[in-house]
Amino acid sequence: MSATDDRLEVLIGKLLDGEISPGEQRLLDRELEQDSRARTLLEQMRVLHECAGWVIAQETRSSGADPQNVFERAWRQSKGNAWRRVVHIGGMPRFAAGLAAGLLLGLVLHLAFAGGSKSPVNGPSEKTVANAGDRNRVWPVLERPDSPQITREVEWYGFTDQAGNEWLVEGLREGMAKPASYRGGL
Amino acid sequence: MGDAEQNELTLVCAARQGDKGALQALLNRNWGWLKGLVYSVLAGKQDVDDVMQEVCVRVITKIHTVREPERFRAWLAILARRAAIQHYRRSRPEVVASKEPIHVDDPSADLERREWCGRVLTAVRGLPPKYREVFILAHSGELTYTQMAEALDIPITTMQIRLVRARQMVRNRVAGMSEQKVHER
Repeated sequence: MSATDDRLEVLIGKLLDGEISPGEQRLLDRELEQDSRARTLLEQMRVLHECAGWVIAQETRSSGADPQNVFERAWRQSKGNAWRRVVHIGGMPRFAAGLAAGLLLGLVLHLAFAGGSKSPVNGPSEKTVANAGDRNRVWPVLERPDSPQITREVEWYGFTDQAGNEWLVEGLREGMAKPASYRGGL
Repeated sequence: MGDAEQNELTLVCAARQGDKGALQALLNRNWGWLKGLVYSVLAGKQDVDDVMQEVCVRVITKIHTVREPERFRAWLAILARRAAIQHYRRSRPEVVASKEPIHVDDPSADLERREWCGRVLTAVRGLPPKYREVFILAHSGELTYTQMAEALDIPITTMQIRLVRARQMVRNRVAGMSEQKVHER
């Protein structure tokens, strides 16, 4: 097929598709007047165009599901997918989420137990701490926090400081040393 | 820009914000040629509705990613073509185009016309994909040349050349079938 035939086919195609410009229309009219082959081609293409349009409309528009129904099904499906995308995670994200949850749980437990296990100080309370500067005050005897059933071996030391004050020092076997009570008259 | 296009632009913007009605209106407007495009990729009617539903799902879930609302049709065409190609590869139809003429079911049409249209349909289904999609879009009668070129993401001149070639191929094949039919008689 020659380039002229191609050009003629383009023009006829445009005419049938409603895309022809006024200038092209004049050109085509001239061809149709002068060339009987052009008129035959136009007739062939017109029949083909009508038939193809009808067949394709039959295939695509007049058959199949209603667009509204298809859309509604798709809408429901897409909403379901969105929910599943949130809930169903797998692979590395799932591992990371599990790890994070474990760490969080561990942190919560740690804080809970650490907060609850703050033991009271068993050592001498502030009221039992001897204050060397307040010599004339009578200090209460240090009370043992242990139950009376428990016997502990202790050693007692006497001590006189440079100012002449006498001290009684309680020495525990565990190597702990804690100040004992001071009595001015000891 | 015409009123229709301006309206479509507004619909795209509303759909991007999650407006279900706008989304539905957009798909309804473009349903005919979109189905034609899917049909052209599948080379037949089988599973077209399934693919159309898949296309709808993709549009619903990805409409917010449309950056240029004025190129919505091109975006839609790419999405539909991908969905159809994926479906086509998954399903692997054994017979794409039958060599036997297809009979169009329409009692009102006379026998000669039905035979002729059946041959045309057979010839269209047998076209190479890139010619088939141009031919079907052109004969769906819903898009202008500019819109077709935009939807197929090709220059308008390329689209016109493909359309001319597709018409020549269909005409030759139909003529060949007619000659074969005469010889058989």
